[in-house]
Amino acid sequence: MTDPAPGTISNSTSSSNSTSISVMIIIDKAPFLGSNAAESLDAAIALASFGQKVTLWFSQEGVFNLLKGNQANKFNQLDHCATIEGLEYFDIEQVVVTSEDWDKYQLAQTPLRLEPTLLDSAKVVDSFKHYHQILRFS
Amino acid sequence: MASFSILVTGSPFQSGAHQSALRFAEAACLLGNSIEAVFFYGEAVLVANKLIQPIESTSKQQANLTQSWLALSIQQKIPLMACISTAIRRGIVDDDEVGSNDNITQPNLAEGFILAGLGELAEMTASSNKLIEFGG
Repeated sequence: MTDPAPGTISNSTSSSNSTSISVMIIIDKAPFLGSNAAESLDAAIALASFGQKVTLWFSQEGVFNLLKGNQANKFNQLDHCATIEGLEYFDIEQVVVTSEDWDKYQLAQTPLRLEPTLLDSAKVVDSFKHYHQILRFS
Repeated sequence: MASFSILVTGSPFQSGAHQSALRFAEAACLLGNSIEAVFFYGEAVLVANKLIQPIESTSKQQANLTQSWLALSIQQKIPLMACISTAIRRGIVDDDEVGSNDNITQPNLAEGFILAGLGELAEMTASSNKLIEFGG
């Protein structure tokens, strides 16, 4: 469990990569009910592949994207959640869930695609100031 | 004088995102600021379909959202970029897509809009301009 603050703004060592921009993308929609969650993930991966440092915050019902037991085929849909297991290959290493959501949605009791960083919501909000951009697609 | 980029993600049918973004852009330009580009993502790309007939267009007094974007684009020379993957998913295609499958027989991308990749959004977030998002 590490602090999510990417700190790239004050980090002068990032000069070798002038586009080291930190972006937080908030996903607060459940998977497979509309395409919001899938398209938010698409955007996250696209930004990461352009060298930006992406943090994903799965908030509220968005945490259901993390469940390993999702069966997209029951909705006749592509399982975009499978991408979540490979996020580190896209250099997306910060995946955040608030400890409030962790308890509320009882995530400790179910297998997840990856182990998110748990933070108090106040700390997540406090980390906003470290990002160049915070995006929540609607 | 500042320079802005605009990201619109709200649906033109289910949110006020486009009205808000247009009013913001007009006001910003009026005050001598500039808008570098507008990027439409997800449901927002629906506004780039020239076949839609929204409620607004029934009134001759009032331009519809698609026309309002076009007018702003021409007046202020602002590129209107609709995300290509989310647009195609919603049946919005340009000349290049015609024939890519049997159902796509003619383009319906509205005048003034272009289909662009997410790299454009990456550039917007990396640019020193302020990026303002209008969601639903």
